Amino acid sequence: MNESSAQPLSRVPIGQTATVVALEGGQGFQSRLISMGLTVGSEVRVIRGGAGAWGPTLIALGQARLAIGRGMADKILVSPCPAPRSP
Amino acid sequence: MTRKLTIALAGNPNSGKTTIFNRLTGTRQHVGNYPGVTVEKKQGRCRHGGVDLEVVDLPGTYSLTAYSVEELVAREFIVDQKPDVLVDIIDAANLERNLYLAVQFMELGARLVLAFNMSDVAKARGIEFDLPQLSRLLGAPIVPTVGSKGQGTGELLDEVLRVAARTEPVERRQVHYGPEIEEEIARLQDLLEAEGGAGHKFDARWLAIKLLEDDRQVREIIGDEGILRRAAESIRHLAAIFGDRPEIVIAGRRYGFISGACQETVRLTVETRHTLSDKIDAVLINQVIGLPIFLVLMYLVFHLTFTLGEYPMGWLEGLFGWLGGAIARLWPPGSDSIVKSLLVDGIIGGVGGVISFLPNILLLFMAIAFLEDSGYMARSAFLMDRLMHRIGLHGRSFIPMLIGFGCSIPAILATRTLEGRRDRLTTMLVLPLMSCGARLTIYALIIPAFFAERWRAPMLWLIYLIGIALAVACAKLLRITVLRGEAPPFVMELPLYRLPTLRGLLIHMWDRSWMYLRKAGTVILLISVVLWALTSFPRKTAFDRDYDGEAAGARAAWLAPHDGPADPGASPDARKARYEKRLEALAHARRAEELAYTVAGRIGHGLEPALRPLGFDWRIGTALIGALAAKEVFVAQMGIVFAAGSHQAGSEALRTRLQASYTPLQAFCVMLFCLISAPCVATAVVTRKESGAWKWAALQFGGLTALAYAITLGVYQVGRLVS
Repeated sequence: MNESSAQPLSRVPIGQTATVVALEGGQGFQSRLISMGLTVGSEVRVIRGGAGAWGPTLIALGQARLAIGRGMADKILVSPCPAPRSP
Repeated sequence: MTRKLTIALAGNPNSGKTTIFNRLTGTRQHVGNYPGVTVEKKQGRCRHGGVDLEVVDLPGTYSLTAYSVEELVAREFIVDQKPDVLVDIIDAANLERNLYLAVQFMELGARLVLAFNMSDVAKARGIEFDLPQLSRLLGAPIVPTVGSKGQGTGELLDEVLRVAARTEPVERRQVHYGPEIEEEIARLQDLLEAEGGAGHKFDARWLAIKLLEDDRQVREIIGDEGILRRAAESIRHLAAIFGDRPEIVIAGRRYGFISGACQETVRLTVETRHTLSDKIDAVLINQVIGLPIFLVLMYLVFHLTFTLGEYPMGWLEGLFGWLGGAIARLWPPGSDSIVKSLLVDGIIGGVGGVISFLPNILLLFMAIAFLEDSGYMARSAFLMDRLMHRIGLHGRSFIPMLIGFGCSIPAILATRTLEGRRDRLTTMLVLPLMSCGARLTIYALIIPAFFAERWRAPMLWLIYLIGIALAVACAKLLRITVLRGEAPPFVMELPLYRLPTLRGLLIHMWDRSWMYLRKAGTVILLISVVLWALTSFPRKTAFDRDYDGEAAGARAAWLAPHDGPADPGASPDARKARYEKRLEALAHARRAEELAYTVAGRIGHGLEPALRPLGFDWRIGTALIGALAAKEVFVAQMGIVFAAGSHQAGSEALRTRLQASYTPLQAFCVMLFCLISAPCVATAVVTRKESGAWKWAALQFGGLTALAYAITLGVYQVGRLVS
């Protein structure tokens, strides 16, 4: 698997930054994410979650912190950014 | 001439909208409902620059789609009521997302003022704005504010007045959606304008965009078959071009417009990656210790409620006791005037008993307001999501449940933030199991009477935990039976932690406590009087025993000379004590006989066969009937049943009587039954209103009562065997 391949947000390890490549799921769900600022092209950083973790995934989207249930995190496809940005 | 302007406050959840609203209106606010729907409508007044302002706090939303009631309500208010000025409260540290809503307001053609709130936080994070330029790009004035400190609210109102005074039509900045979409918008816009009707009442371009977004409600407004067919065609056409629904593409273009505007005007001078909030979160929502911390916090809340509340409660009890005594002295001693009995035993005994628990209620509401305003409540939803998910509920359902610890009514209203109907109904139905503040009065009466000091807090905690566990079990049961369906998606913003303002806390606390006080002044007053009447009439005149005669006999026996060996070792003191004990026993027996004769006594006696297996006697049965009206009436009623004829309103006297009459097991069963059984009538009415059908209220009422009966029966019978 190369670095640009899409994977569900729920599988992204903690600390990793990734770009949203697709939103799956119903119309209401998509519209909700979009209104909260999560669209295709958004860059997110996983704060809590990752494969094997329990509970919702917590991501940083800009300055906001969004908690996303596991079922939903499966429907957000992201592509991990090649290297973590250094401060 | 005095002018009156209506301004509406809108904005994202967590943008500090409520803080600004409180700043502007102070305590001059009232809460109502939007007509036809069950969304709370907060309104308030203020005066600025000689102009009266009516301020409407619209529900917090991220968008203006037709997917949630809140968004629809906000949209309808702006479109139909046409407020003079719309103030969009924007979290300046979360600019792009917050502007998404602002852009939709722009498209609606509202007279807009943007408040860049929490501008201090944004500044601390190294975000710099070129406000004049951004204001030009967005076509709306921008005022920086810090709601928590009250900064900028004066300037905000100045700007509101300036915008309201403008006579020329709003000069609108438009998002350009690209040639393909613009072409379809123009086509629909022409049709709408030609057709008249809705096209004239609303902005045609806005309607056209909404049609392309496939907005269910706008489709209904238009209703014209031809236009709807044309819109469906446009959607298909655009979907074929973009490979995605136009709705998504349109949203993307809006964000494009926003980021274009921000690129020129917003600068990030420092890259902050790890904020203080994140550091706190690393601990508070930690995988391992997050949940234990939450449980400990809840325990502390209850512990404080009890220990701190005890002192003012004592003062209030003293006050009511004194008041009762003072009023009783207006009559000659020993008088059995009905008016005196009504005032002292009925009104002061009943309402006073309930009001003396106000300190506990205030403290609990204060603690909940603190958790809410600090941002921790959202974390608790995060922590609970996995567990809630397991019982088929949304993590967010947990917030109404927490509010349910205060009062079921605001909690049921809070379920409005839940999106799925099944989710909402399930939450609503099990909510009464979250032990409310009114029931706290019952525990506050019973626990100190029957349990040693060190067991009191754990006992209270246990009762609350039982409620939670049962709520979980019932929710699960509902989700696999009558309310079967997939668990709804969970997505929620965790706001920044912030130190709540005292003002905000007080307003919050007051809002809820007022509801409680109002209940004490109206429903409970009425019920106290009714119950007093039920426990006083018919009055018994002919008694089974000759109490006066027996008392006289006992007195004679005490005063008679005792000098034989018949009564060995009886000192004068012991004899006097024996006499007094005998008198008291007689008074008790007389009171019991009087009560048994009254209407309440008869009902209680009628219920006794059914209640006896639970360890309850007719007095508890009578009080439970009162508790149907409002849970705290149970305490008032026990006060009347036990103190009838005496002038003591304090609960210490009642506790002594209870101790003499019941075992700790019975006391526990009473608490258990009160916890689980039918919610108060007010809750049932709100459930009916919010669910839209009596059947849900009936299911809640009947189901919980049956459950209470079954569980209490089990506990009492097993407990009796064990002890």
